[in-house]
Amino acid sequence: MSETILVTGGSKGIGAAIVEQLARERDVGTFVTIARRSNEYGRFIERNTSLYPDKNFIPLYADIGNRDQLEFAMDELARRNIRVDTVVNNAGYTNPKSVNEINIDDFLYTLKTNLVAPFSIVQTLIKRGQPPRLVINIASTAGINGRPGWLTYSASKAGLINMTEVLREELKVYGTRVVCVSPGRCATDLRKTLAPDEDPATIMQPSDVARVISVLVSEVGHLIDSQNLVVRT
Amino acid sequence: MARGSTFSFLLLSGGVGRRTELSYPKQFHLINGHPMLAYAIIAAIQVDEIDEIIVNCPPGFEEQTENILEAYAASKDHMIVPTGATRQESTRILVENARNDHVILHEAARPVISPDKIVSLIRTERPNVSYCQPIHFSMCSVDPQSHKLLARVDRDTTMNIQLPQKFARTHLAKAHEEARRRRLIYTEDAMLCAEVGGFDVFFEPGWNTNIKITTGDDFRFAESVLQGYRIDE
Repeated sequence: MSETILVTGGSKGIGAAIVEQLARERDVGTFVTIARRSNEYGRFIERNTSLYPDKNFIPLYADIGNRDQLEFAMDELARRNIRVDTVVNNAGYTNPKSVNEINIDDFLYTLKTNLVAPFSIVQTLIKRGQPPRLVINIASTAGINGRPGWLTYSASKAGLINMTEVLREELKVYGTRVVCVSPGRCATDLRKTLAPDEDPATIMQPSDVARVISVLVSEVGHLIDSQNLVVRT
Repeated sequence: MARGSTFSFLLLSGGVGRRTELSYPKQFHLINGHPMLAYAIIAAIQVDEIDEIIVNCPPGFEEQTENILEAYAASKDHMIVPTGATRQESTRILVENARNDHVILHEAARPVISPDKIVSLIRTERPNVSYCQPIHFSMCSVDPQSHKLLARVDRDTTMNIQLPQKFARTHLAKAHEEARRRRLIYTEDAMLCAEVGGFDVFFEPGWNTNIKITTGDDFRFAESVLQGYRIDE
């Protein structure tokens, strides 16, 4: 039976690349994406619906850093009777500032988007009695070593890496695999925010990360997922 | 057994577990991050045929038990019922409160349980079935007064009674009613149903790791088993 996968931030960057890679390679029948409403998101869904007419693309609209909007999107899953097999917590936010410049509300929003939302999605599915088979949390190498100027982002991703370690153990009893992938420099919009002067063509592409995710989703994925998986050039 | 039957999951959790030497009842002790009581609930909520979970608890631990039920069993109907003066009385109260014609009886002190084991029990055709495990060691009957060994116990016809167990609710209720009338005390329900109720009870092969947590060492064993989450036959 083909699977249902939920990808947050699935309208562009790594999230979009994951959807496209899995649509090409894996037996995923339904793609649920959660992202903020945008023309780019609309075009992404249209393009994939046209490219893969035998697959089901379900766009949900939410800023996952906003708890009410995320709850509404998760309720929508229940209303449509969609049971998720795999969750890819990919959506990320950053606004790089120094310790002196950080606005507390912005710090909290970063934590809500990058750390609390992935938790809430998993907790909601578990408490709904629908534990997913696989959870993939997209962290960052910035969560392994803190970077000057990226305090809020580094802290949130460090939290995500450690939260994954706990979830990996706690969700074993549900038969849920929990995996952490930490990409290094990758040509995304978020990277442009972090390193505006870098030439995106010289660094890892979202499609490269998506190919790694495709292996994790495959039948041999469990052989390589015991630790935070660093993906970088 | 009629296909599509719904089951009540009855969970004995009223003991205080003095032999574990904890300062609180053992069912609240954490095993790999979850209270021991939660493991049976986690298995039960993943079984579609189960539509209600009924749990008892030691006096004074109602709120703690309710919190655990809310956290782990929110996707099914659930309730807490009073604990009886004896295990037998506790089971009788659980059975009295069940709304379905078929019940699964389990105890919180056996955390090494999976949804598959419950489903296998449910799928057996017979109404009254207990997991039983062959005995792999030598046993004998003795005279406790003189310490004299009397006779060997035939291992081919003797088994270790395990839980979970499945019963037709009316059969178990009648057996309890009769035991109460005749003031008979049993320490488990499969033999009570068979000997006192007069109903046929059958066995399915149990599993080695399905231990009843009694001492502190048992917790360490369960932690190891549940960390790998393999139930080996």
